[in-house]
Order: sequence, then structure tokens, then C-alpha cells
Amino acid sequence: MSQLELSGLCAQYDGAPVLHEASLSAGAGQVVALVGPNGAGKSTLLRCAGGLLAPSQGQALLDGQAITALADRGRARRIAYLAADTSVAWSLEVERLVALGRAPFLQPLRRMSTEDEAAITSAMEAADITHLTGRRVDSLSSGERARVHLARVLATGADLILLDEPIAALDPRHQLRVMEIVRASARQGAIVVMAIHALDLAVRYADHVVVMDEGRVRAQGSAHEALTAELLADVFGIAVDGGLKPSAARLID
Amino acid sequence: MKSRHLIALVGLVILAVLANLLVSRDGLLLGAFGDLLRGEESLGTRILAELRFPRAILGALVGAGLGASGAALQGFFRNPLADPGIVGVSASSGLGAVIALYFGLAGISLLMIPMAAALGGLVGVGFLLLLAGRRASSTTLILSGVAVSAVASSMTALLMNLSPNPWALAEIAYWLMGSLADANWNEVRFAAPLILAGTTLLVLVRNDLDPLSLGEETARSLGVNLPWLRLAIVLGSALAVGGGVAVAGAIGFIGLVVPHLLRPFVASRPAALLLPSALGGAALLSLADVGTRLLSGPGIPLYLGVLTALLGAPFFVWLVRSTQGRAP
Repeated sequence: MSQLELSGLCAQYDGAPVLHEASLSAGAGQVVALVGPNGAGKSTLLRCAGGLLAPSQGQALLDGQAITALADRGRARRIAYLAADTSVAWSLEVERLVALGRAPFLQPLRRMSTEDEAAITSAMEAADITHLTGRRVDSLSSGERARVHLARVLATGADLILLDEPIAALDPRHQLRVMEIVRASARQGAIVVMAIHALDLAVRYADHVVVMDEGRVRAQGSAHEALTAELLADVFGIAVDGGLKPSAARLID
Repeated sequence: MKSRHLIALVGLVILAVLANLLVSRDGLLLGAFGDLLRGEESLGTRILAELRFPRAILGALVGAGLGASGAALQGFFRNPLADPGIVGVSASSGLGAVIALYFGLAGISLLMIPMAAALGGLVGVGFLLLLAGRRASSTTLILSGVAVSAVASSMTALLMNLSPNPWALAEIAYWLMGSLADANWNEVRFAAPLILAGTTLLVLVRNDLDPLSLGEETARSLGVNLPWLRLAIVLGSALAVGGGVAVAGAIGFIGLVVPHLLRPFVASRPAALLLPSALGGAALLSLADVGTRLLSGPGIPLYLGVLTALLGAPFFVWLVRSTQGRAP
């Protein structure tokens, strides 16, 4: 069972501090939602957790091991990361893009193993994009493209999945579909940490909500513990009459 | 790439190299090839053995180096406009050769020019890596490459400006136009290891180019060691291109056009494009070299670099027009 421990993380870009003393712990099967206004430090926290940015202070541990101390490929097998910017340089075929999730397992000058092929197939099924096989990614709608990128992340079979706003710019139905896929991969034993703006979906799908503002963790816990009326007013500058409720939308076949 | 496409490409390379070996305006060498196969010696067989074989081999190698490095650089920079010129290798190798020509070092040994060109390329790359720094982004690297090219080009222009007489100037100008007409076995022995080493390095790291399609940060999250990849791409290109410039002069557009042409056959995968581009570059440069011989008038040689530019530039305009508004 995997365990993610972030403790007292501080980080800076070009000397400007963007993360102060952020701590968070999550276990296998949990979905953690990072919420907060733009510039709150959510992406930076995800980068530190992904070993892409070395914290200036504090520790990021996966199963007790420092994430920045892991070798590149070893880390890439255990931690999958979906950036907010999902642009693709070339007009790749859908299955080729998903196959990139297996890049950390590829041996130089060797073909993909049957295990790789199986992981790609099941990731494409999980993200419901099997019918898009052979299509070019630049010919897809944003919703389809989001699921293709998600399938790429799932294909790695990582213990820790980091998603930076995976449902930004998606319609309500696609938002729900992505959240269902995320929930399902946590059920299979992954730790999912995601930055998300849709508070009602965070309340509904996350086991643990972390409210961030100006580089600091302002509150965390279950959705009800974390997203209090005072904090909503203070951090987001919004009031929710009758309190924040989980999204009641559901998928119709 | 589908195997029938690959077989067709290999066939094309063989035909192009054979054509480069045997085609001449007077058709003399076809008979000589027959003599060579029968083990008879003639003027034709000596021309083949001493001049044409090294020329055909160099043509294929130089083209392969340019094609492979074009594909690698386009993949690395995620930009279909990248070509071997972009990292400043062509210009700095050219400067090395021009320095050797200017100071008359060719008089010491015929290999002085290629050696100076290779050294120039190496210095250019060292300068580039120093300028860009260890953690440079692609943009910084491109800017550094442009800067290195600018410095090398200005120095080249200065040396041409300072040429003591028109003949010295002409020598430099002709060299810069690029040619395989003086190819010999010494040049093959000098350039082949450089080009093969560079191309091999690029082939070895090519799998990292696919994750890079998703951007540098995502590539890192997929286990790509970016500083190492950048070093391998720059050094590999420097060897593959510098080795070619050293013996053939600056030859443009091969590294730009060939990956473009072949990209549809590999479903746009940058990693899969590398080897086919090496083959395509070999075929195209060999055919272009045949073209220079057929189109040269008596006493007025058509230079290889001029021909590839004449063919490549309009073709590139067409490519730009036909891919407008689509992801490559």
C-alpha cells in the first residue's frame, strides 16, 4: 500500500517563494482535491510531489523514500503526471499518445512488451477511448482529448497519479466522465492528487480536500471540514447560500 | 513505418548510390563497371575506384547525417522548421574551413580543411552549450544557436572581406557552396567515423523524442533526462553534420526537407522518423550529386549546395503552403 507524505514543503521560482510549509498525507485508494484560486500554489505542490521541482525546504516522500532521490525512470514508473498544458507537438495517433505512458518501461532498441500492450488496452478501455483508435489527437474534441491524456496517465499503472486541472474547459458531461475515471483508478489502489476548480465535484469525488491560497495550505480534511463558509468567503471571495453541496449531476447513457 | 515503405526506401537508397557511382555525362562508367566486375583494369575502373566510390559513399553518408540530425532536431525542438543549421554547427564548421583556407593551411595537408571544419564545429557546439547553460529550455537553445551562427557567419564574412586577392576569395566562396567533386578515400576515412558516431548517438536516444511531444515537463515526468538528452542531440548533430560539412561544405535543406517528406509515413512519431530520415537523406543527397554532374556545363561546375538550395527552397515553400493550419 502506497503512502504519500508531503511535509513542510517550500518552493520558489527564480527566488520568488510560491509555496510555504505545505503538508499533506494521502494513502492508496484516496482522491485528494487541491482547491484554491489561480496562483494558490496547487501546480507547484503537484510538481514537488512529482519530483519535477525540488522543494527548497521540507520533504516529499513516497513510501518513506524522498521523491527527488528516485532515479528518473524509476520515479516515472511510480508517479504519473498530467500537466495543465496538454498541447501535443505532432499529429500523433491516439494509441501512440496513450503508449507514451509506457515510456518509462521501454528498453532501448526493444519493442513494447505484451505487458505494455495490455496496460495500453486496459487504460484505453478505462477512459472509454477504444473507439478513437487510429484517430489523430489534433482531430479530437477537447473532451475526447482530455480522456486520451488521462488514458496516457493510467497506462503507466503508477502508484501516485497527479492531475493538474484535468477537467478545465470540459462540458458538464465530460467533467463527470473524467471524475468517474479518476475515482475508478483510485479504487484500483492508486493515490490521486488533483488540482480542481469545480468545488461541487471536489466535494462529491474527493476523500480529502486541501484548500490553498497564496502558497499556503489554509485548511484540509473532509470536504465539510475544509470548505467552511468563512474559508469560502476568505479564500475564494464567494458565499454559497445553504452551504456547499456535492454536485448532483449524473451521467445518462 | 510499414515494412513495405522501409523496403522501398532502402531500394531507393541503393539505386541512388548506384546512380551516383555510375552516371556521368559521357556514359563511360557503365562500361567501366562491367570491367571492374570482370576484374579488368582500365581508365574507367581507376576513376571508379579512386574517385567515384569515395564520392558515392561520402554522398550517402553526408546525406544520412543531415537527414538524421534534421529529424532529431525537429523532434527535440518540437518544431518542423528546425534543421541542422539551427544549432550553429553548419556555420561554425564553415568558419573552421574558411580559417584554414584563408591561412593557406590546405598547402600543408589536404586533410587540413576537413580537420579545421570539424574543429570549428566542435568549438561552435562548446560555445553553444556554454551560452545556453545546463538547464536551458529549447527556446534558449535555439537563441544560442542563432547567436553562434551569427558570430560564425560574421567571422566568415570578415575573412572573405580581408581576402588578399580575388582567387583566395573565390576559393572560400566555392568551398562554401558545397561540393563532393574532390572526394577521395582520405576524406571518407576522416568523415565516416564522425558521421557514423553522431548518427548512432542520435539513434540511441531517439525513443526519448516521443515523450517530448508532450512538452519538456511531461517528458521529464515520463523519465526523460532532459540535460542528457539535450547534450546527446547537440553532440550527435554536431558530429553527424560537422563531419559532413568538413568534407562537402555547407549543404542546406536536406535536413529540413527530408524529415518533412517522411513524417506522414511514420504517423508523425519523432522517434520513428530518425532512421528513415537518415535513409532519405542518403538517397536525396546522392541524387542531387548526380544532378550536379548532369547539369554542369563544360568548365562551369554546378555546386551541390547550390543545387540542394535551388531544389529545396521552392519545395519548402510548397510544404509550408500545404501544411498550413494543420499540426504537422
